[in-house]
Amino acid sequence: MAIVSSASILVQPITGELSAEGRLLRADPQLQSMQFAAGGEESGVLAVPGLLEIVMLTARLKMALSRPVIVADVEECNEVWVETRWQDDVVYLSILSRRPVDIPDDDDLHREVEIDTLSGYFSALLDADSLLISLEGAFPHAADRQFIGRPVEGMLGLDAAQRKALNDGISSEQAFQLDNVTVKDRPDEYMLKARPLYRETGNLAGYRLSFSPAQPADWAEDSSARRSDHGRILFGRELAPVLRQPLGRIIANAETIGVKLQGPLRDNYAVYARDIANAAKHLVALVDDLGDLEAVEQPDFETAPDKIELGDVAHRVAGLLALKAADHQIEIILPGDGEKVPAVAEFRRVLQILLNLVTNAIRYSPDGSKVQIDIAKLDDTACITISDEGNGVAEEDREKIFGKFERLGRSGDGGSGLGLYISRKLARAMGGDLTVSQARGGGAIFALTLPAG
Amino acid sequence: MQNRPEQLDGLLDAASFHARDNERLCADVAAMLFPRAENPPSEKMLAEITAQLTHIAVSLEREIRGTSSADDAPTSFLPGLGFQHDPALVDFLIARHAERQIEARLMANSDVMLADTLPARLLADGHHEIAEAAQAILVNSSMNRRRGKLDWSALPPEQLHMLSWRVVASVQRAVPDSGDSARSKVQTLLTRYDEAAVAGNPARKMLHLIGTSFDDELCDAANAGLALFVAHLAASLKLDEDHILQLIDRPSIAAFAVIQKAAGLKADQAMQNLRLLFGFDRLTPRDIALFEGGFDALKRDDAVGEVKNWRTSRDEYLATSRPGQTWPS
Repeated sequence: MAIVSSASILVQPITGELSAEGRLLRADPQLQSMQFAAGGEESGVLAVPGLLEIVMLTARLKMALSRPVIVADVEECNEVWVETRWQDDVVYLSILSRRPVDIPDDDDLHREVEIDTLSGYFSALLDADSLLISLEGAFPHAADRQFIGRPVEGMLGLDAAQRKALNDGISSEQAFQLDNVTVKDRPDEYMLKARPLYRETGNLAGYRLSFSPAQPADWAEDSSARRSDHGRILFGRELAPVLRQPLGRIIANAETIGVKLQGPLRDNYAVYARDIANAAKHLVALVDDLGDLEAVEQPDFETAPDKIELGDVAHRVAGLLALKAADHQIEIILPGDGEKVPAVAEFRRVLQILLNLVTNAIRYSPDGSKVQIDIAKLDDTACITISDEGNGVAEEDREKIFGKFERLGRSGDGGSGLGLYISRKLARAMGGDLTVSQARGGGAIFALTLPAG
Repeated sequence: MQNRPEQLDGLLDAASFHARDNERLCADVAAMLFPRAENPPSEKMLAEITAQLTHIAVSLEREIRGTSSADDAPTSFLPGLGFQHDPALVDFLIARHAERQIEARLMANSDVMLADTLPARLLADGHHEIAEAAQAILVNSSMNRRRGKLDWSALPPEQLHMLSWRVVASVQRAVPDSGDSARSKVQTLLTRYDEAAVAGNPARKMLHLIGTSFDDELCDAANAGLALFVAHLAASLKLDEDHILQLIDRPSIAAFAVIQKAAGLKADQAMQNLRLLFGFDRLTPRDIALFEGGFDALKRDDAVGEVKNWRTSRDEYLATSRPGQTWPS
């Protein structure tokens, strides 16, 4: 962010008092003016997104914060220094100074890289001499480093016509597109979109090549092209990437609108933007679940067994979900350091199952409760259990819950009804099983069994 | 004082817990810091981070349990807290370790008197906000030079909040009747906390207050002092301060050279900063030749692009606990 001048330190800080929901209880006239300029009401929820964000964080953490915040209106954009404190359920807000700043640039290239990564696509940056300088995202070749610093043609499988089209396109310094491009020694075909990059001086700096999975030429006409040898739609391979791209863009843009402060927003619009982002994230999770569903239902689906240690997996899962648990003051109780139970299974699949089970336990347990992970070896079986202090699963639902799209009447909690179905399929594919019973305290206890190592 | 056998058993038990905990912490830190295992972390770094983590947790537990004597230092359930597996917390402490290393090198290599540095001069500024920020910067710098132990008040707010409630849960588990008291104490503790004093914050605030008035001095680590120099780089490159400290403290000069190029520093200034912060004694003739041959040849746009890659990689790592593809090596 470019700094354009020094701050103006206010003789008297601008102050306000707000409820834990961000509603204005009292405000200095200048704060009221900012509220009205952002489309807010006199005693309504604070309409300046950056200020509201720090107020809500203060209310959640119940701590004194001190941060810069961007406040923009139609005429100018200021960085203000804000200090907040929490006392008796009221957030006290003080603005100490303000400094004009340029409105932040929309960092297109950075965002494109993020979206490619999110979408499972990949991209390449070339310098002005067409030498490859970096690869981002899910590049499908293990030996990615060998291509860096070399002409980009070296990493692509091009026929003569494609090679000419690539060279002509780059020479033109214009955007261009190539269909059915492959990466060296890899069978998958991609659509390559090339965009020139320019320096501030206007000279060509290089190219950004974006690779997305190619669609079959007869995609629109011939539905049989979308079916595998078994007659199933290849959702995970073909449809999922196509769906993830627009969803990724929706998430990136909605998050930017809701959080990144591209100017003043009415409070309800910021909420709408976050709702859009959350809905899109839900859809991405659903797309992932459907991709997994398709994979586990293939008759030839198999896992890659390896020697793993269940205590280690438990600790990793707890680490990944620590923040989510902390948000609900839920404590994850882990096996002791000395406890080790070896098993034979595919590590990432076991991790996937446990993430699903512990996420469910956190989601359906009351705040402030405990989720316990235990491990044990019983004869030739290694077992890991996840027990919670939620409402448990009724006896008649204990098989039903592993059904496809089974929600037990719940809705609106972000689940797709596929997680447990996929988890059990994965467990069985690894020679084990996944079951649920009632924990001593009345909650649910899920037991994943696997062949002992 | 004579220890009875059961006391010794208890101590040994606690010590073995810690030993296992520390061993796992070492593996975690190594994996996080050096995802491609190219540069193993030093024993010294691991020891310092482990000690800081333990000290922070003990200081928190003392506050929450209301104990103060060193004799009843509560340690029995610390290994079960899992705080050492939190990437953001470990990342924060790695940055503090880097900050202390760099601050020590700056002190050893700079010939600018402390009283002549920008923060010291700003102590006399007419605006009390500027003077207070300058004072906080100097206090933090002094703490780094003395290698004082960090306690709970040094943590970023989100980390402190999370860790406090974990300690409460653990206290409650150890002493079931203590739940209400622990919750009440942690709420009091959180209201005593003030983010304004936390590492990096005073410098960020100072930068906000002084704007572009001292840009030339801010590019000079000797005059600006470490905190303001790093805050200035962070604002220019949209990186966070902790990330920059870690990049400067890497065993290679490459990352520090690239961030200075991306921030638009001239070669002689960049070399001067390298001598001060990377350390004159650590610079080999090969490093100097590499720098002199490469710094001017490196295009600023390319450096900015590389810095963006690092930023993406770090964001991804902190969000998912997985290193990205382009961690600088």
